[in-house]
Amino acid sequence: MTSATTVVDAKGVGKQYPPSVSSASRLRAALRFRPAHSSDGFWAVRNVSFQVAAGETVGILGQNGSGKSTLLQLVAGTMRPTTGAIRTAGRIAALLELGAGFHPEFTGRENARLNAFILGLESEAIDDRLERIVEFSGIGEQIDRPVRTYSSGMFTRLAFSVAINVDPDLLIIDEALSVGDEAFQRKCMSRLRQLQERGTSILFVSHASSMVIELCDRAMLMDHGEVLLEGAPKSVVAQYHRLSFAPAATQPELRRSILAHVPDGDDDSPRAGMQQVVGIRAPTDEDIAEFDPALVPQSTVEYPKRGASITDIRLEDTLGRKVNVLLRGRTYRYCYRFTAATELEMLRFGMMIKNLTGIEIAGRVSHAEGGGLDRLRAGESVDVRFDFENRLLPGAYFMNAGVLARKDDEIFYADRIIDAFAFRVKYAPGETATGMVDMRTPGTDSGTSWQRAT
Amino acid sequence: MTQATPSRPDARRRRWRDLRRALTLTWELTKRDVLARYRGSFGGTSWSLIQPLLMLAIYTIVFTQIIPARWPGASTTIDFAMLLFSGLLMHSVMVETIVRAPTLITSTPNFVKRIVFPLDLLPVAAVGTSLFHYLLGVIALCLVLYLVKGSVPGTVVLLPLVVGPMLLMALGFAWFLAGIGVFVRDVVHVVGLAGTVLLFLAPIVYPLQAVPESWRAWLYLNPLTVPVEEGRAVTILGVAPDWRALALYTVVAAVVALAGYLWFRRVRPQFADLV
Repeated sequence: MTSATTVVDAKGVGKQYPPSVSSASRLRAALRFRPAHSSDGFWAVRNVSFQVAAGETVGILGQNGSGKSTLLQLVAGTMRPTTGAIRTAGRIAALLELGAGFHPEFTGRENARLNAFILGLESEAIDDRLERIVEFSGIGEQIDRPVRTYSSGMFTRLAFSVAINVDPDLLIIDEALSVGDEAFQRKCMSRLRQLQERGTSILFVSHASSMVIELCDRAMLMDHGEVLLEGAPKSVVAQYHRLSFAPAATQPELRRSILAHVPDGDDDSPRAGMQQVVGIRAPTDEDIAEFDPALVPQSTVEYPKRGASITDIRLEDTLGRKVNVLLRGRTYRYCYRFTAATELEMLRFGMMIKNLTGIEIAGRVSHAEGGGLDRLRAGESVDVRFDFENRLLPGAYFMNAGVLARKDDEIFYADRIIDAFAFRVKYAPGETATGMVDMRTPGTDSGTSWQRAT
Repeated sequence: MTQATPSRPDARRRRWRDLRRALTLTWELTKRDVLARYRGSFGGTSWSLIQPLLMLAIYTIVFTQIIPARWPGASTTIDFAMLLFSGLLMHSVMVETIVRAPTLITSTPNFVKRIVFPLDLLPVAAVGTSLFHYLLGVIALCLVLYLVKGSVPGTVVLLPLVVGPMLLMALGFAWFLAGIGVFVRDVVHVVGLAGTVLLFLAPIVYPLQAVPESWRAWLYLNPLTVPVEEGRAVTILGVAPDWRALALYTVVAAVVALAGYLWFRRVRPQFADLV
């Protein structure tokens, strides 16, 4: 332990899963005091060093299979590292899997009781605390019925209530916050804040970047078992998004560039990394157009072309520079070129913006139904532009492009590309808007007012 | 967490607290273990009493009516049944424990992988569960004794001195089997067989005197022989136990328990990768 206030101290921690688990060799290894160590096993975690100070909240981001969960298990002590050492201090409550250790035949109250005890609550304190746990879970009378009769929501709510109410020194949470309904999640958040104020350290894994930004003091980005980046949540989240949307081919290069990136406090943009990838000059001002070459949609679907093609799909800022990292409240232009290969009639040009989950947020067509550009001869091209003011909240978005044509009373897509383009809206500090779009009147600062009712 | 090294009283207090915690947790686990077995059944915990009584009935019928066994000092069927029963109770403590031991860890992967849990308590809780069932059996035995003979021998208060060492022995085996059961899954089948061997190679369904002199010493290799003999002496015959045999057995049991525990601690780090 380097200081009295360090709760977790990991040094050069690695975890290797052997290629094939031969029980006999495992047994031999165990008896010889030698860690089961082989030359060709899978390293789930490699050479990870980090510390968590008392009262600090650290988020771990990373794609599936990046070693996050293994790392949590190593910290929790359910698994031992193959190399290196982890030292922890104080009472650890680990939520590696909700309701692990619950027995289906026992009531919620009985299970909560034993669970709380296992998580380290003193036996004298349990009965008193149990009431709080039960109340927090909001399960009501069902609490005295066997947990096998619970819905999965109730089950996880109960498990979470236990872990969050045992006052640990370190709370380890693996993807657990996505439980319950909105109201319960809010309750958990405020309880987590309470714990933070009381000096509890929290180590958690989440795919919900907004939660990492909201809750954490620090974040780590893991990939292929290594910690690529450690720093301010915002900048780590930005890199995480870059990495997850990058095509597989460019990922190794991107990984190297992130590794080379020295975290510089409250940095939000992938500047240093970008410089290495494409060799452009690092922007000095936030307002400067940003184009992140790694932000490429992986889900692009091109429809069969029927006598035309859409090319050159891009977003431009007001100065005509190609961008894909957008700021809120600014005007952008979505452009593409449409080239007819045969003669087409009654053309209607369209676009659509969708979020990560595929919800269609906003779309537009050039002409109302029944209208359209009369005619385009073979070989002729049209540059289509859609100007819009960006009111979307921070996150990643996808754009479609499609052109409808009519021939012999049949209306069809001359060309259509789904998820043709991806962009990201930058996070800005002091966010007050929630949901998907900012509904304030453009140009106003807050748009929210209140006064005490008399 | 303190910066200074903890003073000795502090360390002692912490050790005391850890021990108390372990005991409480064992108690809770045992309780759950006992309750879980019959949870959801109509009979509930009364099965724990019905089962040994049923066994008693069956063995009595078999060994008096079908294969008549002679037992010095047992003149009536009910005498014989009680001698048999007291031995069978000892046997079931041991067998119940060792049969469950190999799967204790493998059947609770969540305790291994998902929560920080003192796994070495699982075998202790398994022994606790066996003890609970044993106690019910002893109560049944004393009840029958009282009804038939009008009194229970005073030497029955010495029973803990007989059962205690055997529990220690069972615990040692349980730790060993729980550990090896993770690596070698075949152990489950072996212990089932061992249960039968332990039954017939101990003076349970026959008196020790019925065994040829030259073989008798070998019977003492069975960890059940001493407890069965001495248990019978204090509960039914009303005589003092063979103190020397008991002392020797206690020493061996302590060594077995310690060895089992050290073994368990040694192999434990591998569990998470194998379960």
